[in-house]
Amino acid sequence: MKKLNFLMTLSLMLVSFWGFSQQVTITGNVADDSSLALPGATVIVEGTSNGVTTDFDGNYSITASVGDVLVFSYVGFETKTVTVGRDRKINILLNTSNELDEVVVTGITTRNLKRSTSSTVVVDAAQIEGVAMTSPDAALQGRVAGLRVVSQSGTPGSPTSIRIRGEGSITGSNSPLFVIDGVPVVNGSYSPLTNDLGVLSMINPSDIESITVLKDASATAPYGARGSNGVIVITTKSGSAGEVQYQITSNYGFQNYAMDERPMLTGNQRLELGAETLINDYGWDKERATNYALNVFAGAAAWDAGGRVDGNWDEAVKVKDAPDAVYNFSASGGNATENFRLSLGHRKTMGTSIGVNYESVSGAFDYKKKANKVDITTSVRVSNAVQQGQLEGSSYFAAPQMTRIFMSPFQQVKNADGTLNTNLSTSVFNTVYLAENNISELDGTRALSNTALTYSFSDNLKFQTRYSLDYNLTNSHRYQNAVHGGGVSDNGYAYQSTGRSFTWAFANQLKWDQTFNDVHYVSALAQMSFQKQKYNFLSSSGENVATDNLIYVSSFQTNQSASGSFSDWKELGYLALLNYSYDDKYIVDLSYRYDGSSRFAMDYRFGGFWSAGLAWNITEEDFLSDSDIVNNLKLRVSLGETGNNSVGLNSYQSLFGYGGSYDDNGAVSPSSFGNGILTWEKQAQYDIGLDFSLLDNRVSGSIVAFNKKTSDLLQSVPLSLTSGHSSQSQNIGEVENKGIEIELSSDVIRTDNFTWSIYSNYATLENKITKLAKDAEGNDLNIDGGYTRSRVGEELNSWYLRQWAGVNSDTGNPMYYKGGESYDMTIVNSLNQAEQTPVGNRLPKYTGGLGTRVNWGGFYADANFYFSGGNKIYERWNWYSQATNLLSTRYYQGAASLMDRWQKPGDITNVPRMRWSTNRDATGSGNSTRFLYDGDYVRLRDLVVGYNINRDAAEKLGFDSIALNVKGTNLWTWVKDDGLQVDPEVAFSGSWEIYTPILKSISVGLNLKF
Amino acid sequence: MKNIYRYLLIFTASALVVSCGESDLEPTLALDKDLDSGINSAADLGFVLNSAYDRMSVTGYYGRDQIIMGEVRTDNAYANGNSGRFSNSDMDYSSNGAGPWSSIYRVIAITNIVINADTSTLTGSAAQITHIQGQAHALRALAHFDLLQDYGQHFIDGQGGASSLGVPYVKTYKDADYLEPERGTVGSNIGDIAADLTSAIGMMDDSFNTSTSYMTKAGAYAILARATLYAGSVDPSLYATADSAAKWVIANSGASPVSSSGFASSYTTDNASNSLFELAFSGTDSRGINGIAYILRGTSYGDVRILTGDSGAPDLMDIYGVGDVRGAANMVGTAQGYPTMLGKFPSMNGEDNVTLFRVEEMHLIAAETSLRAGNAADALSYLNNIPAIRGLGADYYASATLENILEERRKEFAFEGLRFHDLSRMGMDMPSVDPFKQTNDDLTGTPPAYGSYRYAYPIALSERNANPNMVQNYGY
Repeated sequence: MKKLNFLMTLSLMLVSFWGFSQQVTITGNVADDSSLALPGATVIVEGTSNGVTTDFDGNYSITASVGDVLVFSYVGFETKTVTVGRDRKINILLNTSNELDEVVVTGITTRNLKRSTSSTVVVDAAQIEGVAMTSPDAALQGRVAGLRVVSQSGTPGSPTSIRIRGEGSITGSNSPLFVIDGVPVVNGSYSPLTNDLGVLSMINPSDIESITVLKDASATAPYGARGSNGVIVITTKSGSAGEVQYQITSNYGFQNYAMDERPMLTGNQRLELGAETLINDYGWDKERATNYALNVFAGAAAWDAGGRVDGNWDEAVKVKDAPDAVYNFSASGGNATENFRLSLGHRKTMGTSIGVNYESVSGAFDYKKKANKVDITTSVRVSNAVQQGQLEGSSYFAAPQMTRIFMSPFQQVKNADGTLNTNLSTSVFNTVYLAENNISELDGTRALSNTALTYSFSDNLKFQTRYSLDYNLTNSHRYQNAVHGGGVSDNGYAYQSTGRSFTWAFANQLKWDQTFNDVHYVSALAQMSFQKQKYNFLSSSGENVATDNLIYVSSFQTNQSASGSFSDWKELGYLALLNYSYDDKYIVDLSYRYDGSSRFAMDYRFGGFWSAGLAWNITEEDFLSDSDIVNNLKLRVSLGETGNNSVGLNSYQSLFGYGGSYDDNGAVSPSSFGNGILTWEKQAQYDIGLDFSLLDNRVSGSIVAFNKKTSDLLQSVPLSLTSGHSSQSQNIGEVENKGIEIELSSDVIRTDNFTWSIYSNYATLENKITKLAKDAEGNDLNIDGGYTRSRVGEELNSWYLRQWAGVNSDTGNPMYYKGGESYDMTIVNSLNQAEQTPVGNRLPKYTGGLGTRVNWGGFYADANFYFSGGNKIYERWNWYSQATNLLSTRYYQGAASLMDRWQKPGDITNVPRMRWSTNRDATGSGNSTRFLYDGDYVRLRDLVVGYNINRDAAEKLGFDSIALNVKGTNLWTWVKDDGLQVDPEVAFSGSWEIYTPILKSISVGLNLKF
Repeated sequence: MKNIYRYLLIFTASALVVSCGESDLEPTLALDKDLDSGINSAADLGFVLNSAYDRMSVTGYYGRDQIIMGEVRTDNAYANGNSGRFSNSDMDYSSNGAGPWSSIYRVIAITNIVINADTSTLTGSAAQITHIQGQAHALRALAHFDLLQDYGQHFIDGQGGASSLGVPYVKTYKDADYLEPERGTVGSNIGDIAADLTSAIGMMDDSFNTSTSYMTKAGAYAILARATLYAGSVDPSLYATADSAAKWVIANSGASPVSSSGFASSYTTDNASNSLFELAFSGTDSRGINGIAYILRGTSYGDVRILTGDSGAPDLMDIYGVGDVRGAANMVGTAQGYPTMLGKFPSMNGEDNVTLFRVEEMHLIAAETSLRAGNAADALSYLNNIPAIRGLGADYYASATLENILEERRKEFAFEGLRFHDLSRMGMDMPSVDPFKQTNDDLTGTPPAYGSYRYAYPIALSERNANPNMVQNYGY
């Protein structure tokens, strides 16, 4: 019996051993979280060298024993392990590794979000794609606290301006630095015409993966002397693993003015007011005055004889429902060691103002390869954009938008036979004719390549070299016809120019990171970078053409002139970064950059910039790590010093210029006063912030308080004009910007099928000058102008105007307050007797965005509002259209609000009485607060409604996914001040100028993946 | 082991390739040269002086504004508001400043670079260097004279005449001690102007003259004659200097007045026989739509027109006698339906030279100074020289008086920029020809009277901000 037991036990044991050690074949499939197969994934038995890779369809077959642990891994994904049990078929879905451990892109390196000490905001591809403006940075409006984007003109392709955390510079640039894939690029435009082609608009928005905005010291100090206005890091899309996936996107929309502009007088109103000037000043009766006006005012007699039909210039210069079509195609694919992405895009947009349109085409190719210890990534993108523009930005007689404000309704757009009227009896041109017959064209081509090689000595030590080549060619062509317009006196005019810039940059960096004892994480980086740009410009022009339809300079033989120029600049920088984290609880971030630039004199070229950041991940502490309420709480502080080197090239040198001529001989004159000790502007910034995430990540946000002090400001210190120069650049002033930024978002409802979330951001800004240059007597050299002033203790360029006190109801004359520093409220009767008074802020005190998103099954809807306020806006060009005199009724055109003018004693109105005069100051349209309005407004910036067709239905049609959306931009605007009848989104100068108005658009989009 | 050497070599190679230093940061100066090393020879000095002439030709100075402002504020011309220029806003007597202050000081800066250049290190003919510096002295005097006429307070009531505020007389360039100069008195300005012209005359050498587009000894005497004639209203002892200067020019300059048949064509000819000093313009170097022809007759500008009226003072069309070539149809007529000057500055693209001094002016100066000295016969002789060559025959005037000398100056120099200064130095109000058109009046209904603060421009805000020693003109 015992023997039988022993034998049975032994055989059971043998059986069980045999069972355990028995090798079985396990098969299955490895795919990613959207069920796309992952070919080339590795499956190994843990602790052995027994491993296989998945085939093209993601299938594998491996021999293992029950109880073995299989490890599934793939580059860029989280590794998963499964113990072999009974199942012989094991299918695995791997998650992308970024989902759980977010990474912050700083443009120089990437940082794990937990270990980051800085203020960064990321705007992702979904919000950038399909943006109605041609420039991708327009997508940032309302989504980043403390960032303001302004598109001054609605002309497609025109550049935007951005400010981050206020303005720190008086004469230098306040625009942030743009970094594309690790290389700082030159933004701005190269146009010699009044229309502009923004260089950033030549990057196809659908090629952008994300835009990261770096705001504080520890993120921007590594950029040294270019980082003080903030840094915008653009990361382009790269290839993805798996089968080649194709994507086609198309968008078709219609654009109009976002807001109706100020209405103007009709012909009958104009006649009535024009006659009234004579009635008021000379006592004539109405009939005599009206007859005089009909006979003497230009165009009045013909208008009267023709049945008093007004020339409808407002409609004539507008293009309603201007179409905008965007098409994009991309393909991407790859495997564990290499991947690629290619894209092709085309955009065609008609402007909302006549004679304006834009077309661009772009292509890009990205490729990544892992070869043993070397990683290679390279990308090339080329694009071309052609913009037909019109004059804008000032009161050019040939600018269509100017016609709306200055052309008399007595003048007809067309003749009786339907041809365009070129026989106007006014000096303003028929811009409808000019839009058809003149040319103002920009043709820009950009080729940008970016290559990086990374050699990994080991997992911890990597060396990377990156170089980038950026070639930009901008051709411009201007032609004025000989029949009508500015070209008549010369019998035609043509101008052509070519500007070529070539920028090359390279950077070498050595990066080391290591974790000691599982708690000490250290990362160090050393980088050297060099960038150089050279710029060539060539132009020619000529006059007098023999016949129509010849538009190039060779056909214009009289007064042919040519000019050419060259300029260049260079930048060299050394950077050291150190990041230390203790158990992901306490983090220290240090950086130091030593930067040199060719813009400064020999001994003043280099400067050092440092930063230090500290962070405390409170939720990693024991007392909070298990909390259900607080998921993430991080306190961070950062301080540091950056710089701004945006001073003109060669401006430290006192130079002779050789460009002049007299009597066909050369004329040499001093071109600048020069300043041998010119150096960077410096900025010291600190901020303190709290990031939080509560209630199962349902409520998250951050609060940051910042303070930026800019010193050694490059000020154009005025010189006495008796020196022969008007100013000299000196490093003197100091400005302080401070404020609070709050971001808050909340997933109000989160179920499997329905989510509703609200997101918002809010920022305040206080801008103050703390120091200015002083004159010989020790008094501040106040920068006082006709509209604004900059004085110590006040905002930079705050409004400084005479104060309007309304109209005297007894006499109908304009009244002003005496004003001045004491805000004297005595009423005076002439503009000259009033003094300029500080009357308000130019920069908004608060800005922010509020949005909401709903997902329900395949439907989603997203609405985003942008609001801004606490500032005042000045509407320029009122001197003519709101003057109650001959300028608005006889020579040019007047605003419809003039009908509210004072007519008899006892009338209470804000519009003075009509006078027979051309004096602007005496008839109330001189510079005063009459034209200064509150700039508070709210705008529905984006509204999207979309539907993703469910996967099964899409696959039945042969696609991986089909998505439709309807998108609206700037659909609704609310303006606080009733008197403001122009678009409140004005340029950073605070004044409204004559540009094509800002657009609103509605578009329909389709996105197919297959 | 092999690998380590390979990598070391690669990294060393790449480090060499990428190593850079401060010298790599030197910017390219492709279009300009350093101030300290730019003037090495007489030719270089000449090119620098050319930029003084070039800067005198700008729209804000003799390219248009200085000439037009001398006419449009008077009974010769008015602005009709076609492009908004020269209407009240340009003569808007507001504290923001007006006039050619900065344009003229830019000319003075160049003359000072030339005058103060270290001639010991320059190569080239010493006599030519001195001639160039002499030209610079004359231009400096002319520039300060124009400033004095535009901004000086000598005609303003209650300001003190000769001891009233003039302008800063600047004699240095980039001298740290003199970057914020004070205004000198009118008297001291006149003294400096005369001194500069005397130096100029002594330094210039006629053998280096090229054309009347550049300053010559005769040109300097002409400036002296005009300047001291006008300054005589402040200090009558200067009339004698004007007298001798004008007579020197008539006798020695080689210039001769044009006849009646050649009068119109003298305005299309560069360096005509009567020219003493003019500024050169050409097809490629002209002010175009910003020039004089365009503001007189341009289709979209054309603001400045001959002032005509029936109820007030005599207008320009009324004063020309029958047969006077200056009133002929090719000189004075209509364009775009408005009366305008046709014959002077005829080319619409602005390529005609602008003559600043011509010998006819010297004759009329000599007439006036002779009259003031008590020599009526000489005065009449000089005075009648002019109508005789303008189609009116000999002995047009029976006697010489200040009134008919003034009238003859008006006829001869219409639209050449002298009228405002002639009326002001004679102590006269700006005549009212047609208040309907002369809307340049701050809504008072009449043009300014003699002694009004509006006989001088205001000093610009930017100057007062930058220069603590600058004092604003009375009334602004």
